[in-house]
Amino acid sequence: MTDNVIDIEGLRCRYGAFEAVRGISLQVRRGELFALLGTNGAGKTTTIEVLEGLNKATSGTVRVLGLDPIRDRAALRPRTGVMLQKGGFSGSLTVLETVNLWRNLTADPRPAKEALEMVGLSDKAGVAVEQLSGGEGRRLELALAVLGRPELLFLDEPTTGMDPASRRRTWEVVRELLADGTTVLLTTHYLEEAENLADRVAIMKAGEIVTIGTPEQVVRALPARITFHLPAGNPPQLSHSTLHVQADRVTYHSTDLQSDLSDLLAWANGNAVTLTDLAARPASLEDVFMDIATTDDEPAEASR
Amino acid sequence: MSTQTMTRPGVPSLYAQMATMVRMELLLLRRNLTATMLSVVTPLVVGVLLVSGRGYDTQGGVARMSGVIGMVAVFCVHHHLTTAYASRRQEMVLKRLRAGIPSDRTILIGAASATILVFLVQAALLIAYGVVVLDMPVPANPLTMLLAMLLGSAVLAAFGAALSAVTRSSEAAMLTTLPSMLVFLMAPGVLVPLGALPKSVETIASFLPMGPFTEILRTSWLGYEIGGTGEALGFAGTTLHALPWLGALVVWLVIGAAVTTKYFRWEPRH
Repeated sequence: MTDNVIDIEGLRCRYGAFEAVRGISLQVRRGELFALLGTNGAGKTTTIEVLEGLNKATSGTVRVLGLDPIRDRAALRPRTGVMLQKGGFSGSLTVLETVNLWRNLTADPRPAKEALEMVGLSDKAGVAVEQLSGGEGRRLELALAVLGRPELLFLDEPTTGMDPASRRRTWEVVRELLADGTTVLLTTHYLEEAENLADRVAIMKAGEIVTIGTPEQVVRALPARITFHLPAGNPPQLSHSTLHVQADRVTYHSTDLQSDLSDLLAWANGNAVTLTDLAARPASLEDVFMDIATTDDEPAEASR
Repeated sequence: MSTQTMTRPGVPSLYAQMATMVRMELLLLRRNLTATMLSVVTPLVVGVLLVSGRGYDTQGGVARMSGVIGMVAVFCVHHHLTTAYASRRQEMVLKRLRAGIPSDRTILIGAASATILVFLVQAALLIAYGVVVLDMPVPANPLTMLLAMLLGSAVLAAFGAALSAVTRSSEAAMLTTLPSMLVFLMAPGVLVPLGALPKSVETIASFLPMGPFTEILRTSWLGYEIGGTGEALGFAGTTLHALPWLGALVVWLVIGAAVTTKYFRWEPRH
């Protein structure tokens, strides 16, 4: 027995002719937050729903807490918490009624008061669920996902559509859960969210994992960026960089930022050129994401 | 089920899960005025109007009342449940429940139980109204009547669940349940009085789910068969009479459950 809370080997999911997940493998260790990143249709939700036991794998093996999510459902469900991508609760019931009904469907549930305090909804107890704002609704869904103090928590785009205050609040709750030893699998389009919370990330595209590692590892694999505006003249070639020019905006992707930057400054000083809005920075997760999202992935396209 | 209690303490019992599903549905029914009027109040009022003030004799009255109870069952259980499953699906409630502890069966049967409970109360009220106000006899065999109502509403619920798969919203249920309600109401003795159809058509139609339902209700209430020898059957006799018809309901239930298993959807189409 390893200490992997989630173990996926060669998972494939096919809906008719469309293959949503094309053979992914990944492990999530106890106590970590693992983020699945990707654009819409990348296969994140299909993957998480297979782990939740809501979707069947076409092939490959999936183990959650050492169990099969569908066959061992009865043993597994009391130990996991789920926040769907959207909804899950009747609009006409009040917040407190919803929490109390769900307490009766949960093993060893938190008191209703504690659950609502956690997500800052104590003053909304008597409000109908459909009257909540988008962010409040998502926070209620989070409270209900963690009602049974799960060992493993699935969050499918937990902060989509949230205002910044709700998003911070949600992050705080997730950090507290992590501090208590909860393992979290999260999907998101927000790179900031992954950079803030994740121990490890996997970026998915067209049903495959394109890159996997800690946020630092994923970012380090990518060249740093030098950008400025140059209204006239030609920018120089730098020895560790590739040059990208869009109108007057110049971007270098550099594998040796320090050396390329000093060469660039020496060139500018020598030619008395002003580099407007000069910026130099390491790659961000956003850059990785954009690179992957915009690169046309030939093999994936060809196999369709 | 048996492994649940070993894995973690405090897992709610099957009974507690069912009770919660029933409470959830009853609470939702109370909140939704349209559904309450459409499925609970209107059929009951129409039912009372249909059996009252038309100078039926005992036989005709009991036959009419049995039909009315069948009609209430079709509206309350079949139509309402189709609507309920569709709107729970639309709000992702079914999917969320399925991601939790309750099994598929607990979710489906739990939701149906609430509606069937409401129907049984309506039926009891109608029978009491018949006996107390309309001078109908006290039912000769309440047990087979109850069995018929339970099995009959289970059949209506099963087909409601299956039909909800093609029902996108509670509004759409008005349309999707139209053909099925027609088929259920077409059985002789529900809307169409006994003897109104040609004999051969009536014989075939009496095997539609609501046929056995009303047949058992009539005979077990009166204690003798309409159009038979007229001799009192007693408790044993009415039970014996009910058995083949209960068998027919079980066959329909098996078909309904199979169709539901094959076609039921837990989340909206994308």
